[in-house]
Amino acid sequence: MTPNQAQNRLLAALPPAEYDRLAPHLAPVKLDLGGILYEPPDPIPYVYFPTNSIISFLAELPDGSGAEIGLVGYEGLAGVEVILGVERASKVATVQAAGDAVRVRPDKLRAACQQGGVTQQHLLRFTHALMVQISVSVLCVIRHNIDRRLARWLCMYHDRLGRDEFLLTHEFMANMLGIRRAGVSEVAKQLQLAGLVDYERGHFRILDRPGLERQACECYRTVKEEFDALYV
Amino acid sequence: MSRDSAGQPRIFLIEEDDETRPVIRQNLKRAGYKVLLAVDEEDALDRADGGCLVVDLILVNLVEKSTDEALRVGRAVRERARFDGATPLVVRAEDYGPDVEGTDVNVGGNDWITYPDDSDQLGRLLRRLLKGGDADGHHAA
Repeated sequence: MTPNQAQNRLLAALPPAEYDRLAPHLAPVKLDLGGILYEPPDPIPYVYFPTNSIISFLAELPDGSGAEIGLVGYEGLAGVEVILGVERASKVATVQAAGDAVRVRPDKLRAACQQGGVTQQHLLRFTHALMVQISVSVLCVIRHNIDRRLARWLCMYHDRLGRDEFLLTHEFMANMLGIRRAGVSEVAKQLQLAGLVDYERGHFRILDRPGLERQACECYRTVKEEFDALYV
Repeated sequence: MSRDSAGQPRIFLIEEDDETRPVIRQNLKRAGYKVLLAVDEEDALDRADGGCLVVDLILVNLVEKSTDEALRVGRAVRERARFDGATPLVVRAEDYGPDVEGTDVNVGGNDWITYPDDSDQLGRLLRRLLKGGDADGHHAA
């Protein structure tokens, strides 16, 4: 198993022969924080498989306001539109946590799918899981209070980052959750008083991960189970 | 300072955001304050009418409005309630850059704009403004 496969679960799930067909077209890349990988209505230039980075998907209104509707890390890819035969981006893909990824041109990925085997099947199953994540995110905004939503989001971020300490500003989290900065500050205070996190001037540290999960809404568990089932 | 019968300072919170209001209220209560609520400017002015509002500090947090507008609302409430200018007014800014992050700016008299960069900055400012022992907070006339 090559380093690329080992660090991205979707690539690691491909049978060796099928991975070998795709491998010559995979290029390692560094993703910078805040970088826009693609956005509507532009064509998607590359499909990205994060290894230790995190990519957010944003839905935006014409006035520029919006919120995160999904995110992906080492468990998947950004650019499912390509798998579905669509060339243009349907949402903004932005780098939420800087790090490494591998990328492939859409035509090369489509060609790999068309050669038969299980590659296409794996990619479509991931697409389904991502659709579940996005659907649940919409319901979560409607039904759940910001305290549970922030706890859920922190769990999702923590899962994909793989470490307990990270930099996150109130403004960034407010933009991701589609809530006001004041709301993030007050909820973060509650999480801190409950001993679940330590937070000071942008430096976050997860202190009690099981406790944070209990604080999160059930949307966290629903989506996690969907993604975990991909790799059973 | 007015303090209620349980010795708690009273904060009049004018918070337009339905999502944020319960969380701020909960945190203020946990910090030992009695919280009176208004959901917008009209509601706040109605409550201030008649001089029956008794609070030690006004905290304003408006949605998609400038800090100048929030100051105007807070000052209008203070005048309608017939408080004198020493009753502290705190406006929580929403849109701001790193140049002011972490600061509490006095904008005249006992009026403040806070630009929090951590979760306890507002709490520290409130504690400073609501220290007991002198006549910083004023009753309605």
